[in-house]
Amino acid sequence: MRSKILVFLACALFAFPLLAATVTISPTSSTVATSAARQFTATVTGATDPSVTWSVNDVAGGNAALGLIDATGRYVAPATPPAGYAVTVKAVSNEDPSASHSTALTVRWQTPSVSSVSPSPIAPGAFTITVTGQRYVDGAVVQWNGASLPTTFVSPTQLTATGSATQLGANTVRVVNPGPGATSSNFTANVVTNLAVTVTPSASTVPLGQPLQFAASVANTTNQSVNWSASAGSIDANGVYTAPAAMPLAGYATITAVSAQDNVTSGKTTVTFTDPDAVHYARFLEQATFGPTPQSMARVREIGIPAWLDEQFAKPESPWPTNTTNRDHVINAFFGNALSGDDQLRQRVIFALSEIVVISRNKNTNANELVPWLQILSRNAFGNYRTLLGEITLDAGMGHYLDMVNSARPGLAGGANENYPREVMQLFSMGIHELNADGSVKLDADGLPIPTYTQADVQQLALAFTGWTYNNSSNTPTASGQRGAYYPGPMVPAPYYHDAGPKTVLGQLIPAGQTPLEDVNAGLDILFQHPNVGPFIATRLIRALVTSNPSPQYIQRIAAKFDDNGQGVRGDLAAVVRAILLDAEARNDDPPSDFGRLRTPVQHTIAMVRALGLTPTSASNFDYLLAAMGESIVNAPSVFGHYSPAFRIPKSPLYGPEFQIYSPTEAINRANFLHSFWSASGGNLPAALLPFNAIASDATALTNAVDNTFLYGRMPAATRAAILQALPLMYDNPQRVRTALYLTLMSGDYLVQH
Amino acid sequence: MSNDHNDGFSRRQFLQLSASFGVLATLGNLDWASAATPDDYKALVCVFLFGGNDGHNTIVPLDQVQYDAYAAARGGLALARNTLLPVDDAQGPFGFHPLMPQTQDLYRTGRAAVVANVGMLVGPTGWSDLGDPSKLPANLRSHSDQVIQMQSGSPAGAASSGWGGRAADSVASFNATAAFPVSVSLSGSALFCAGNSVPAASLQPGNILSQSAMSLWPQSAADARAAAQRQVVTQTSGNQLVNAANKQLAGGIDLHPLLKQAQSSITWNRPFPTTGLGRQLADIARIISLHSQLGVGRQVFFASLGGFDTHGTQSWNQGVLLQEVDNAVRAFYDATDQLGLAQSVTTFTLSDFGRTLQPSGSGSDHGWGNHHLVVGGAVQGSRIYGQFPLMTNYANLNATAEDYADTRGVLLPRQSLSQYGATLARWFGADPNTTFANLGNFGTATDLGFMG
Repeated sequence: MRSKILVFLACALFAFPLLAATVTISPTSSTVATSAARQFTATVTGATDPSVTWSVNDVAGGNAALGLIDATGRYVAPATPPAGYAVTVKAVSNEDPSASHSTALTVRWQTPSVSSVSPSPIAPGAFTITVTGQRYVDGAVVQWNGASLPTTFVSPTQLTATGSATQLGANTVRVVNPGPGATSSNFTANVVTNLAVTVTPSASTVPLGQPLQFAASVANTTNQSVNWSASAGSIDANGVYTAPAAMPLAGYATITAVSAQDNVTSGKTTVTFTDPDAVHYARFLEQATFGPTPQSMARVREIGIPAWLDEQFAKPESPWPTNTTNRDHVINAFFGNALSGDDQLRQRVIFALSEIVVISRNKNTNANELVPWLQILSRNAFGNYRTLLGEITLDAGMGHYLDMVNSARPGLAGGANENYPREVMQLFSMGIHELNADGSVKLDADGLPIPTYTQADVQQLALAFTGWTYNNSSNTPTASGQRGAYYPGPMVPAPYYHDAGPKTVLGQLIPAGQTPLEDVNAGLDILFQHPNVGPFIATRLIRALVTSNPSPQYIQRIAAKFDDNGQGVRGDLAAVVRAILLDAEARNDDPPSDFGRLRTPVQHTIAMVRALGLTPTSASNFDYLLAAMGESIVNAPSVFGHYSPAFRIPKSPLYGPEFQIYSPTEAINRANFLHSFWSASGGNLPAALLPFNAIASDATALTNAVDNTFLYGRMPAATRAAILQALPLMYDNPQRVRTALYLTLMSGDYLVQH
Repeated sequence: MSNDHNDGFSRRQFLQLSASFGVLATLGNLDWASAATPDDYKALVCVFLFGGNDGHNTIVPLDQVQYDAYAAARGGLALARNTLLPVDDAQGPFGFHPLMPQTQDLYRTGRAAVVANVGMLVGPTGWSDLGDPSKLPANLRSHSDQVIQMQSGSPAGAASSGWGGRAADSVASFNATAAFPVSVSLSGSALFCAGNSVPAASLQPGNILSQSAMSLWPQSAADARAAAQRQVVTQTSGNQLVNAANKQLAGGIDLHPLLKQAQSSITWNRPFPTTGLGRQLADIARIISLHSQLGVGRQVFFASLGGFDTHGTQSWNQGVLLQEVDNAVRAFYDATDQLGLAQSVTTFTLSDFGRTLQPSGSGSDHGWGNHHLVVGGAVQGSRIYGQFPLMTNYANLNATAEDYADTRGVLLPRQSLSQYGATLARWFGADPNTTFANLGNFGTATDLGFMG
């Protein structure tokens, strides 16, 4: 197709031989230095005679001022550029004088060169330098680091210039002849000082907001005065530095003293900021919330721990989803309330209670079987434990979970179910062995543990707990009153199914002839008054909030608070929680080596997300990953929760319940899970991490940032050294950020709140 | 070593060892500790049925009188006689649950046995002992306690080691060159696997513990990150829990290359079912296939299936679960056969406890004694070991027919977990007395015979 068109065009040209002639000059728009030659050619078409006549600025053949051009088109520039550094070269067809072509030609000064600069080296401050080289013309300018200096033309090989050196080491010098494009290559001139400024103290630390006196000495001069500056915080003329009030992400400042002698020579040192209170308040918030945030740290610093507790006790409860059977809504609320509920302490206690008084969606599959349970835990988190026991015993979801619903007196179908009576004693109130007030197991004369209850107690309590059914008004009651599944609201009595006889539980009589509710209350009262409940629940809550290995004295103090809140009330959970968190053992910021507890996967994740201000997707989207870490939300494998309170750290006498779900496998799963939070779509860093990215090229700053954000300045030297060693080998800043986060957040020091 | 360790030392094992040493040794002089033979491999594979499997409906007497007594006692839970899968035993005809055809086949072909009425016992226990708590295991019928006791092999409360781990401890000489954990759970951290010295691990099916953070370009960056991580997790902190947390992650890092190797593909003649238990057993088979390369001579594995706590809708729920066990265990047996290791691998069940014969609504309640299944080429199969409880004794409960511990039909175990486990441990080459501290309470009857 294309070749056909070309053939057609060629035929057309031959068909019209009388077409007007044209002239084309080559090259066009070129530049030539003074006294240099440039060959032009002119192509003539549409004429038989290809010859042209050349002119410069319409002067045929040119002249000495404009440059000369011969009949072949060879142009020789003049020794001095013409006005405006430009001429016009023109070719006119000899056959058809109406045909011509012009082109602009720039004629510039020759390119200068620099062969030496003296003095060498140059001292800082004001200087006069002599520049030696070639092809300098009057009007040439010396440039210092790209800036023009006042310059004197001495000769075509020498210039002098004056300026001021403010930068030690390599500086660039070049010469620019007047007019366009005549600039030399850069020549390196060294600026060397014989002064030396030393700043002390070196590599110091200073608490936030606090002053620190710096001093500078200037060697090789009597002028000891310096000008101070700081990259963060402020420093006065006397070297008195004041650290910033809030921790900058980089965690340190560079202090600079510049000699007044030359205003150039400087000494530098760094000062690292410490935040001594951070450990105190962050440790508290690790125990009382799902992890410190800048906001919660500021609040507890402002009002103090006791007032912060009062404030939390008064916060309204975060809501739970109602009118839904979708269990994803429960998963999302459980995670979401913990992540961002304003009632952080309540959420933390709900979390703790949810591992003691357990319902699981592995049996209670719908949201409406789970929400009343969470509402009971939420409502009673700061209430009375007896009230909590009463409400959970009659909860329809619990009735389903541990089979108390439709449990019937002997002789009727099904009989008295022993499941809930056993678990309420073993797990929700007393435990299996009699305890001393300090939580230790009471031993009999043979040195053996004493069971708190017998199988007979289980059977008797089962009889007392007969006669409850679902509150299903839409379900036609049978003659005897049992009804089909209905979860909102508590169970209701089905008296026909209730065992009317007397029962003896833990040696105490529940008289015959009571209503189902009277029997439930009597049974629960017997359990609740058992002396085990204080130490049993105290131990569970201390382990959930503060430490896996509380001292017997700590347990005893909390158990005593459970027994009597100071006003004669037994089971006051607010008093118990307050006592746990204010106890000297919890508040000891230099705790013994067995102190602390492993964060669960959910707690670990939420603490990280809160500290970084990330915005994760709904938890139901990643619950399957939590399952691979042993902590699928509201989905404990059994009534014993996600991990056994009696679990001991492998090869250790220490308790560590949460270690049961931190095997090597689960550790790697957790590492992979956390790592997934640090990439947004496209593999970029999430926006919340951009401040870290901004400082990531400074390994010290980035390491300080992760230390201060997650470890409150307690990063061990080995971790710090490992991070500082790895960061320079990363390809880019996002890699650096992820490296620092990964190494810190999966270190034992962060995994264990201690 | 005392000679009585050798009482249960089978003729077959003796010949094997003698052959590999190229010498003739007399039983009395044979030192257990020197019995290591690198090309000798054995594995014990525990399949734990969490929740308390209802053994009464796993294997049922087909004798008409016994079946009728069974049906009367079980009410709505009774399985129809004509649906049970018949097998023979000297005690009479029995039938497996209708959804266990593979187990029926393994039993009929001599590769599976049933061990009847096994339970946690302090010592031989009769009716007269039931009122004396000191003669009974702590907290019978409590899931948490019985799950611990069945794994610890001890009728006491808390325990720090399991009988699988202790059995592995005692065969350490077979594992001197082991480059892989010897005691491995595919079902979370299992007390069963914890020994006093044996390296244990818990793995998840299909997970070879790759770290996504280590997929990094360029490789030099990945290497630097990995080196730094190792430095972090191997440091020593002043806090013991911090050290423990670091140690767990370090363990995962070390396991990765080994699991990567174990993942190397094998095509099984009988594919494993993609069920939870199927995946666990498939990974166990892959690890077993590498035993020579990894220098492992003895291994203990733990797999599990939950959901057996059938207080309600048992008929449906238990059937589905038993079907999963049936298919997974059969695939696993065939895999060991394919590897030429059918004689070297023995699979057995454990469970929290048995259940009440008497129903509780549409389910059953926590019991005590239970029937268990043992599968493998070394098993003396096609038999029921131990006296199967007579269903007729339930209707006529009395002290001379001590099959039942109470009116709900809770089985009073005739054979202890210790005897059951010791029989397996002895085959494994382990010292049964360190594996079960209370084995001595059962006198000389410490081998139930099902391993020959």
